[in-house]
Amino acid sequence: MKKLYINQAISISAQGFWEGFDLPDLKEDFQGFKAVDPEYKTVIPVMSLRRMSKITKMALMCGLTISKNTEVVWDGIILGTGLGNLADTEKFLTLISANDDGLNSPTAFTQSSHNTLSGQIALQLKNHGYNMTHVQRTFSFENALLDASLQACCGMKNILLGAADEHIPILNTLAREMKFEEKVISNFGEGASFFQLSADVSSGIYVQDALVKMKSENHLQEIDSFLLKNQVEKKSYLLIATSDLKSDSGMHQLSVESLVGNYMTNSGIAMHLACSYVKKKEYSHVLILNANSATGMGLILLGHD
Amino acid sequence: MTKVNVTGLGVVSALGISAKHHFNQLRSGVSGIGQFQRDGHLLYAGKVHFTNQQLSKLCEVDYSDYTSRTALLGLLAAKEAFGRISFDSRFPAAFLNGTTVGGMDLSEQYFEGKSKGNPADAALFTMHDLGANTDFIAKNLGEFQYINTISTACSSSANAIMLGAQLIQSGEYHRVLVGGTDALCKFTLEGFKSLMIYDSELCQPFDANRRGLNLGEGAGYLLLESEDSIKESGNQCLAKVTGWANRNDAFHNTGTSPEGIGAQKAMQAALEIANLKPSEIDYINAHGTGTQNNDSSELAAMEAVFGSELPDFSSTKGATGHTLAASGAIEAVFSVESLLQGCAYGNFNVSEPATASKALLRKAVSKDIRHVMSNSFGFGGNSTSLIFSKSS
Amino acid sequence: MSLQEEIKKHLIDQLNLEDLTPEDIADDQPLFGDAGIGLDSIDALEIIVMLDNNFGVVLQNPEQGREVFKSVNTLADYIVKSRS
Repeated sequence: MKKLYINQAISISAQGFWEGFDLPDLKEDFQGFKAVDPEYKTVIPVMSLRRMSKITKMALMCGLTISKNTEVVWDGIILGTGLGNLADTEKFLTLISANDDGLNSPTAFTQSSHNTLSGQIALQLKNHGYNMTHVQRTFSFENALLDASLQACCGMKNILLGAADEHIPILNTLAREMKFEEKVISNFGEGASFFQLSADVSSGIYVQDALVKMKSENHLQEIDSFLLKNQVEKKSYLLIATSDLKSDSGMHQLSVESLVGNYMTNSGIAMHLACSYVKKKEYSHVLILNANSATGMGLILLGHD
Repeated sequence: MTKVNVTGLGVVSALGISAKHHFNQLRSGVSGIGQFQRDGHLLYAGKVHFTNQQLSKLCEVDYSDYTSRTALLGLLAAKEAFGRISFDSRFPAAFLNGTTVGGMDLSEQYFEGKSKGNPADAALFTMHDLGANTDFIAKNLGEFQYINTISTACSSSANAIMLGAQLIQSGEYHRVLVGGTDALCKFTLEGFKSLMIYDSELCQPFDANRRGLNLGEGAGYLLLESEDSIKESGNQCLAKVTGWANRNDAFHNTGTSPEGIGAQKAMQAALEIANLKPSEIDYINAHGTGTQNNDSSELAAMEAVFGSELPDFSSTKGATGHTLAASGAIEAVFSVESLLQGCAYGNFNVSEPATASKALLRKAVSKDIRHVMSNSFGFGGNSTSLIFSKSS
Repeated sequence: MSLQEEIKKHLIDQLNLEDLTPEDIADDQPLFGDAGIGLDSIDALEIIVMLDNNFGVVLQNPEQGREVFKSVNTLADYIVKSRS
């Protein structure tokens, strides 16, 4: 895997708008994990903003803010989303179910494609480069990162990497109808996390390796082999997981679930959190574990110069 | 540079099943688009002539009300492309799937039911998310080491092919099944109607008086193998993937720039990867949806890249309809067949050509095709160009 | 409420122009392009839906839109003409 430096990170979640690598004051007591809306108007043109649903606003806010903070022109804009533009999908579905005849309003349909996020960022920046959207459920962020690495191997230098997922009320309705536990439903969250990746300009913080395992019988064993391969000492790293690990192997560990809730691409904010720990250099490495999948797992390893 | 070999092809559309059958239909100028009743209206669409029950039988899976049509179409075509190659731990396999509809055909049933006051059946949403459809196809084929879903509107499966080629070239994988699938559904039918680009008559891509597109459904897949993998599998190399590129038009969320900037850049970059001059392209399978906007932008882009010497080109969407995410891969299969058979397809339903250039083929032409370009352009300015070359 | 006022109210509603009030839109102000309010081709389609839903007027040919949708005044003229 090609080493990629993380030059910037921005996230929106129940923790609010978080820009940079310094650890913010983290809130813990939540009634639901609705992402706190920042002042979108300060970054997104009003005539574009008016059509956007929350997921698009969050993605644009993060992506455009990062772009404003740097002179680079993106060689690639690579995003991941698990469920895509749910609000626009629901809106258009409701519209066409109620209306068998006559004209339908097109806006929700035009905003509902999964690549609306990456497309809108390119549109606002007038960026003609590579533009990709990965939608492999809980591994959408990891796959976007793996794509970024692949493109860097093919010569790309500057990549905008991001992930976003939104929550809408009907998800709770459907989950109840499918007999999900209330505890699981109350943990549903939403958010967006974006990163400036550079193949050659050091920030001191880098992605060393990433892995997606579609099937994993034993997460701890997989972690051990991954760390061995990357020559990471057992006690020298911090583990940040997407959800609380049931077993305790004596590792230093955190989970983002109680901070931002559960959504398919919350390994994105886990990586943002990881950056702040890498910056502090208390650990040699920080390992991000995506344990959202019922059958597999994702791993991202960050290191510092 | 490691060569990327195409060793398997699979396709299902309104024209039927199998790559060879599609080639024969296209060469003969046969279209699969028909007129259908939907919600009390008549419309033209490229519908696959199998029910979900029949598709399940063909795929050798149990029928279920909760399996999306997108997944079934995908599995059928994927099986053809995968062929008889076995899963081998020495050559881990990857699966890259493009889709935009996913399980929307089932999700919209939930909303229809609700609007009529019927009891809700939330299980209709279990295949809504796109990745669930990819997982279904993958698990019914075997053990893939790596699975991914791409969704970039109409260029999704073309991008899956590009990424697959890059994975082979990087040495990371030796076997990658790439392509995409999308089923017809009310969401997309009504969506394109709301944009007033759905032709109420038979679509006419590259005709001067074209009125819009007809949607289609289907799936297309290619099996890509490295040189080492072929030595083991014994598969025949049908063609090589030699060029690929993805760029963005960055003009409008749904429309394309008059000059087709994204398309131009994608075509130029693909030619660079392939190390080919524009004049070396013998045939272009165009995106050619039949909308005023796409076809004029695409013509402008082709003229900018190829100058006055446009290669022979055609859109096959007049035969299949616009199959959305599946179109890139379905048309890649058609492009590889055109190489194999030495035949460039004609355009369908053109009465007054949109350009005076003789390159706009009115019917199929037998010719030696060494390099073929296949283009796909989607919402969000997503523009992808692929080049396939003869295997010798 | 005058027809122009009604049109402005529905435009703001249909096109999500949350930051605008009817007072912000002059009767003869260009609606499209950078010189005007900044509407685009998707807005043109939305206006077609708005005309149908609120005024019972159907624009058969989207190409007509260019002239009819120039300003609130041209919209009003079209509605009046279509109703007579």
